Amino acid sequence: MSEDKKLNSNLDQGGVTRRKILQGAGAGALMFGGGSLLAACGGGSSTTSGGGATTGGGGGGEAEGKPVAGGVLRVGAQGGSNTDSLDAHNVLTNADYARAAQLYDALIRIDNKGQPQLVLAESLEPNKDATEWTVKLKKGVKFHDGSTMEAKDVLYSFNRIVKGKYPGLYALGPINMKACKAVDPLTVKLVFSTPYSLLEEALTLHWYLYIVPTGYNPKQPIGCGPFKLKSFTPGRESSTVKFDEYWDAPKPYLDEVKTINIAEETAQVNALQAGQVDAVDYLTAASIATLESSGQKVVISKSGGWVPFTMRVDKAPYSDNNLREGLRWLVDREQMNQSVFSGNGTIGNDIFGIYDKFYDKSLFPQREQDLEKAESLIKKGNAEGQTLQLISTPNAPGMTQMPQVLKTQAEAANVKINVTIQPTTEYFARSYLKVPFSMDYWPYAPYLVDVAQATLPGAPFSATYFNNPAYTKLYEEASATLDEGKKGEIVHEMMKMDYDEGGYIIPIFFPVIDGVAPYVYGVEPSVTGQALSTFQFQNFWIKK
Amino acid sequence: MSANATTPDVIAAKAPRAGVGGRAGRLLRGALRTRRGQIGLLLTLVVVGIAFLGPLFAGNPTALHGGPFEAPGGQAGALGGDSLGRSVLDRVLDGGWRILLISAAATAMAIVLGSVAGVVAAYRGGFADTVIMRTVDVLLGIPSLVFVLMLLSVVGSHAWLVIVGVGLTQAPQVARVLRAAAQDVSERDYVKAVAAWGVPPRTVIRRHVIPSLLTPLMVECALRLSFSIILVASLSFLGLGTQPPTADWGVMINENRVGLAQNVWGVLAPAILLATLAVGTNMFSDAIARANLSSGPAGDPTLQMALSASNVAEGDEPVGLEAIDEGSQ
Repeated sequence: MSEDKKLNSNLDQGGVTRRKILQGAGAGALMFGGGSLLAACGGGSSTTSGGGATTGGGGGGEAEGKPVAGGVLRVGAQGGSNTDSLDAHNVLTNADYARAAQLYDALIRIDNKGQPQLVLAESLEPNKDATEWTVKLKKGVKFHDGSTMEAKDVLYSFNRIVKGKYPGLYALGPINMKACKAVDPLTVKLVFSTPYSLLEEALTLHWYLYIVPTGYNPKQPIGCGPFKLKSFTPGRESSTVKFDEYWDAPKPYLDEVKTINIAEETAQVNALQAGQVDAVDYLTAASIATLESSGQKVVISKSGGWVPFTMRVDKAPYSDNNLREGLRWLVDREQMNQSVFSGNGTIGNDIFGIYDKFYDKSLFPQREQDLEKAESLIKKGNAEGQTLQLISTPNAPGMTQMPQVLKTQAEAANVKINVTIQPTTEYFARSYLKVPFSMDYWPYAPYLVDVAQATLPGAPFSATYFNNPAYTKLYEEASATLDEGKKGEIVHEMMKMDYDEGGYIIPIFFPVIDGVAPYVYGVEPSVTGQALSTFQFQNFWIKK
Repeated sequence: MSANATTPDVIAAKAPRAGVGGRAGRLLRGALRTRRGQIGLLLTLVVVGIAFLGPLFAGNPTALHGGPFEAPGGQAGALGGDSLGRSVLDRVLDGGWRILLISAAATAMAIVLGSVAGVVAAYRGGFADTVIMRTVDVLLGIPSLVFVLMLLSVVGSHAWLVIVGVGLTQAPQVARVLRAAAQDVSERDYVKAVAAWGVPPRTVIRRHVIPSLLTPLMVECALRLSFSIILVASLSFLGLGTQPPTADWGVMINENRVGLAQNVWGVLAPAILLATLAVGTNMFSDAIARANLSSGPAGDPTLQMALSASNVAEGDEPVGLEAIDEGSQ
């Protein structure tokens, strides 16, 4: 135990550096040892022993027994930086997502299967033309400061999002905040300037739409989430403790969650094996075998998150759909999945939103590599002999590997692709949403929600500059109708356009791979494309 | 030869060169007589051989052979697969020559820039010396990796920029050593005599000063080369050098370190080669320096002074043509 404490204080004092992790784990063992060696000499407590490797694939958990209360969960979170923030509406880094999910709750949450789940809302009812939604709130939900969550807090939160132009703005669609009002303390009327039948689906982007108390100050981040803040050092770590008056009692089970920034995967894996953290997120397929062989649990989620190749349909040579389609037929998706994700991803068919209730796989023949077809289409697209410039950045799983695989596969069809991997800062300053051939990164969202952000003209994250008036009109119709059958038909029509002439190549939906210690339970695979069951820490428990 | 020195503008042009060439050869031979020099050269040649002959034997370094980090001996070949299931062996064979060429070009640039700056500073002295050497001091104050990283992130990553950046960061060291050595040479009687004959400074520097600096230059070359290799490989490791999927030892170490537990060769093979090369060039340059020192009073004093990096003060032991000639016999 004393050694354990020493390690912990190590973590407390300086964030986690690679060197510290190595020191803690018995540095000498690293050189040739890899996984098992480190586990054997690391830690000193009983945490690394035992525990068979369990891989949750696709949806099943394991026999876990009854949740037990108590314990501290230490999370080694990737992707944090000095800009880490606890602002409920302005999550930026992946570590922010993990922390905000501890502190806040939203009206609706996306569940592990990608469907809306009522959280703070008791019910959502639209009026006949979907221009008004009546939201009934759960009774007796408390904020961390002891006050009760009411309709005015919902209005305050949404107002803050709209005024601050925070990312949640796009989910709220054509909301007219001036007309919205609190009918009574537990009823909110949300008014939209044009019909918006998509509200329920859109609210599944819950990480942008947390409800905060009126007068919220991000410096004292109060929410009604399962944990309340104890301490926070940006770029380093945070500590949150169980909120006793959480609305969803007896959750949360854990007494405390420590979220520690770890900059890179090797350090994450070593920290987990050495017992310095209990859970790590966003690993690559390479770590699966390492962790399993040392008795850690690996949770693999087949997600609906996508890492598309983006082609600007308004820029030559990609403005010619023959070239775009040629490139789509060029990709060997199976091979790409094998090479990049060890086969753990889901093969894509150039249409996003695969867990949407309207998505029907059988409507669109699965594209497979067809080099002849690809070559002739590319010739028809007048791009023969050209060298295509593909720019990407190491921002998400697959974004540096997939371009390399594409380049290699393209050689077989006599297409030259020049790959440039830019550092993230350079990429976002110079290339993102600008260069004609690139990559992007999206967690899962229902189809029409993504459409509003990605493929409509003027959409905030349109990397393809897709602009088809018929498509836009269909979207408007879909958001105006409450008739599910009609909406489904419209969605299928729009998906067909994406499939035939869109600017995306979506070869694979990436897997999310997390590692947890064998004594951590409740971490279920999730389709959202976010790590650790979309960071639903209230469901996790520890039994040593 | 000493007789020729009386008509420097005619004969001395050739004479010191021949002497210097002989001295360089003698130093090399001296270095190769030591165990250190032999091992250094052997290690260097082995890695250089792999880097330049390897591509002839390598299969397609970007071909995909199944899943990532396959164990050695499978589809991906004798050293197993890398992070994308490509053959580690093919990539190791193909991944060295670019680093070596870039490092060599950067070293050449550093040597040329550094020697010009150092020699001009020493020979001209005064204001030119102050300007050049203070600039060198400033450049030495910036960590080289940080400097190149900054350059690459501002302009974008290009091979020529890596050469320029690495060359620029290595040049100040060369300038410093060469200035110390050249200062001594410039003070010598035969150089002063030539200058007194009215030979223009440029000619004096070219024909009489620079040839005497060949030995410190040789040591610097080898030293700067090993530093450049490390720097270039580091840049590749950080993703600012060679662009994927092109094979490159530095890139390989970065790409494959997540799979260390499954296939250690993806990291180990390029790391061993890079380390061997760095150790080899270092040992060899060290052997040259020692060969010079061990040749005792006949050794090249310019090099000794340069190596001790001391400024040559006035009233140092006068060294004339005789001593140099003795050294070259």
